[in-house]
Amino acid sequence: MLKTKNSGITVVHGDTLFFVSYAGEAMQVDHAVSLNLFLEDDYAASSIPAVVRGRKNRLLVVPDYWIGQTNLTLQSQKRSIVVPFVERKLASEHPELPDIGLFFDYAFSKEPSEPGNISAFFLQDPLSFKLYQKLTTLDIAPMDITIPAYVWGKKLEKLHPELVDSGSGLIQKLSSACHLYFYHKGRFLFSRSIQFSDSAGEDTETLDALTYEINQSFYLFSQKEKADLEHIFIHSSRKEDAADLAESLGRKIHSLDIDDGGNAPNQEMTEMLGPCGVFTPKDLSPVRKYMAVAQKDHARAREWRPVQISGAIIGILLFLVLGGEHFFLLKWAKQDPGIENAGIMAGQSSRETIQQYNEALDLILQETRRPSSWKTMKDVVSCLPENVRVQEMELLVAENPNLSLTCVVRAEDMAKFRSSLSMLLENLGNTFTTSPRLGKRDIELGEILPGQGYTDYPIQFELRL
Amino acid sequence: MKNRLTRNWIVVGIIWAGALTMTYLNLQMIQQIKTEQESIEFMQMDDVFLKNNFEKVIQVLKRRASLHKPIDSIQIELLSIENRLRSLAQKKGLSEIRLASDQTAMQGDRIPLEMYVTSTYRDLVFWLRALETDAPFLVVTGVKMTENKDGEGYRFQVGIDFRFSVAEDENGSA
Repeated sequence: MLKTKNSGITVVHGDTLFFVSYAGEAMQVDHAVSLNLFLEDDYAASSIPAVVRGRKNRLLVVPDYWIGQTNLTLQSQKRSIVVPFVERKLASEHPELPDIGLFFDYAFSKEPSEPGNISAFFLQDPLSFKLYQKLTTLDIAPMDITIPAYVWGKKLEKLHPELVDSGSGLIQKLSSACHLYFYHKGRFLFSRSIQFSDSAGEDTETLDALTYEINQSFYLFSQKEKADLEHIFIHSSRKEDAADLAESLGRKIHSLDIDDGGNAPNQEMTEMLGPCGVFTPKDLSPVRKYMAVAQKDHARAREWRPVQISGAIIGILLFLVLGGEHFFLLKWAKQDPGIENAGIMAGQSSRETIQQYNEALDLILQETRRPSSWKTMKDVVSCLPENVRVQEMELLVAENPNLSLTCVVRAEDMAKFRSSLSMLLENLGNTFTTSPRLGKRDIELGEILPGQGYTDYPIQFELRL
Repeated sequence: MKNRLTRNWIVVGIIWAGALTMTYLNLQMIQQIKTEQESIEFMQMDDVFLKNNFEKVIQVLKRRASLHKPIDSIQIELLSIENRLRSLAQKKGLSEIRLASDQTAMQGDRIPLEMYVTSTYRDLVFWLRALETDAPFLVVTGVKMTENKDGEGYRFQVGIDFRFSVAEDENGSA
């Protein structure tokens, strides 16, 4: 990732800030500027070469003491609980650093014997916050911040996996300084930097000074971890250093053989960038393999990035599939329009005919339901007994079909009249079966007209058809 | 960095909005195609029905056509109808025939007519029967019968609706 054209790293060594990029495995410094000058307000982006300005700053390597470590104890391992807890603890422990909550990360301890189960690491040097702010202002904010000790730790672990369960130390000897790193069970403990004085021309003087400092560090290690330092490695351009120091310290020192793929670290680069000068792109990338701090928002953005990428990819795929479906549907809807239209034309004609047929059926049904005038009149006559004569009749067959009939029943006596009336009602009931059956109470009797040997009984009734 | 996170969410949102819009469009199109196919299926079913019941449909349509007389002019047609009614009535032995029509009382496709005749009950029934058979577009709506004062025969008032349809000319306009 670091080998890509548009990415680089920044390194703080001494009081200088270096903008570094990798050409293949070889490291090159694109720009170097005094840290104090860089942090000045009037230091503008234009002062930085365009090649640096336009690229992604993947990593900021700062001196070891810029990052602090602390062990905390918390039962929960849920990120949503741990993060606010660590943030609160750091803020309370370092009230002088208001931005400390934005630059920290943590790891759960593998060792139950350790004082806390959470190992939090954080930016602790005020200069680090200023530097980040300045880099952000210039639009080259680093994605992660780490220290050489963390990179060395991972590198050692990779070269000697057996060291994970023991205490180990690394001596990185450069021409002008020597850096000591101490780890216990894979966890970084502390580091020391020993600057060689310019006057120390003699190797023996340097060696004595170094022996003294290393012994002091061994003692510190023992005090801190209550354990012995089992393995000591040295990384130096001078092969004799391992033997000299072993003799001087009185214990075995392993020379660290780094497989650099044939690209030995550039001496000049190593002196310029300090401990960082020996790191290859493989050591520094990907960042997640060693401990590093990311700005809170940046970390959150990175956390969500896989979700966003997955969401975007799934969304695009879905869009493409649905687009294909849409295209297919469009094609389907438009295929053979001629035949389809002809079918529709024919269909429309059929539909019109069916509609006319339905309307005709409705009308015919309506006609059929309407009582026929001549049939009704014929039926009425057939219901009348012989002694009944119709005087008036009103037949309505259009709306609310109804028959109103005025007749005269000629009978010799009341019994005969009753009998005739019963017969009339019986006949009407049998003939007009769909009509409500009439009873004697439905018959209105008119003024009785007596005759010679008979009596005329005028009657009137209505029959709903 | 916050801006970048937000911007990325917006991009993802736009992509998904596009996908959802496409889903909506596809559903709409599927619904449209389904409706069209159903419509075509119905039309095909209509065709099959018409093919299988062609004779019956024609009969029904003819019967329906017979219930309305196509006319060009109402006045001329009314005269013709009156003559026809009069002629049929005379043929069936009805007398004292009088016809009245009121075009202003026209209701849609029907004109009410009133016919007054003197007849026996039997003759009137035969006339009504002949009328229903010969002229189905003349619909009897009511019959009012009163006995003649002399006791011989009856006086009838027959309400008739003349149903018509305005014939279309060659250009297809009514």
